[in-house]
Amino acid sequence: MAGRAFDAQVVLSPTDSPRGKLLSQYVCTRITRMDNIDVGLFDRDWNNTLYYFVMNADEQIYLRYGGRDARSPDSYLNLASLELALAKGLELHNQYQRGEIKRADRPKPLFPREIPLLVERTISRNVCVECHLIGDYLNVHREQDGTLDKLTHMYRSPDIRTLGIELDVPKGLVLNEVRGSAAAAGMKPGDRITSINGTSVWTFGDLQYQYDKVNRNADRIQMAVDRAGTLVDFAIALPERWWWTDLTFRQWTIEPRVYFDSVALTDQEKRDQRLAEQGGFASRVKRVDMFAEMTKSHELRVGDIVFGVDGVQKDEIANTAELFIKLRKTAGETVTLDVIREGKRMQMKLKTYKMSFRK
Amino acid sequence: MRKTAISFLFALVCLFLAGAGRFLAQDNEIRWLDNYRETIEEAKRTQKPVFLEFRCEP
Repeated sequence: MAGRAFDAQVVLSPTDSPRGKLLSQYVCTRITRMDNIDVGLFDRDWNNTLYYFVMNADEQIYLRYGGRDARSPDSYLNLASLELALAKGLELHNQYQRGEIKRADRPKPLFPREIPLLVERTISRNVCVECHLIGDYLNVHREQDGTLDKLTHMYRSPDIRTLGIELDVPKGLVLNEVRGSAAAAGMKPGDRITSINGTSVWTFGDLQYQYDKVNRNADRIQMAVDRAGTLVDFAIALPERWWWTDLTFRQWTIEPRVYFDSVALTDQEKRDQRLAEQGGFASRVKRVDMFAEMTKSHELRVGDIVFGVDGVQKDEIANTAELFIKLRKTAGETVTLDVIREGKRMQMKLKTYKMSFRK
Repeated sequence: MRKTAISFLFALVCLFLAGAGRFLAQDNEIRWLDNYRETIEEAKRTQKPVFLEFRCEP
């Protein structure tokens, strides 16, 4: 199970080890039931099965530790960086006690018993309030009341690597490799990220949480780094669809599953096929998932070009038919695809699949 | 009879060592609470910061 080894190593830290000596200066708590936890205070990406907070008795959070990406649940879990975070937490606590850190406003409380679907499917049945269900049911309620913003709520926790940032994970927020937008802005390997859009960050967990708060329509962000003891600010241009991540591991019930992957056609390819260029989402199928056949979802083949969905061929955000369906359609909906197969135009149905947790 | 007594003594020694080992291990391990309210009370009493782990175990 994700994070199991890391969890065990932390919980069983010997008191005479460097990590144990740090942990001994904390009140350590391990919570496995979310029933009575204020999930408004401890808001996070709910698809993390292991996550940590460093805080005080006034319930003020100093920092977060954890976070994952689509590659693995363990990408950013590292004992060396945890020790850095624990040491930083002690430093921040001392500052708080000396009055050097002001008391923050407490976020609006939200308890699992206030989320109707959680009550219906878990609490009333006395089964575990699993973290991923909190995230999913919040999104189902958003979809029902018309406040769901798929770019923000479904594509949660954008990947910082899209900016060209690769961290030296054991060293926390120190950059290992810098490419793309981050390099163009002037960031360099060895820099340590200290803030994003003016908010201080101490760990990858902090960075990912604050990066997730960036408006999906933004075209740049501010980042500050510590470069050999000097703070340097950068404005980083956000690439197109910077928020996009592979959703496969999330199992959202709000996501229309299409069971194919596609790649956008180039402008030349679109011209060759006499398709809409500007804003057109015509794309070539590069992989068909075996679930397409199992669920009889569709009959697309690798190499097919999908250039229209329910008669629509353009979108201001989506660059592929697959993304258009995920963003603009509801899970379980059936759509009509316009397809080119071996030069011949045709139409076919695609029934999107809605995930279920069998609760 | 003598063999039974030796076996009994051996079992007693094993039980003692197992128990002692457990207590020694506990002395060398971090104490983890599992209740949020108790955590906050303990942090108030000791003036220590809190390290809080959320572990989803479906």
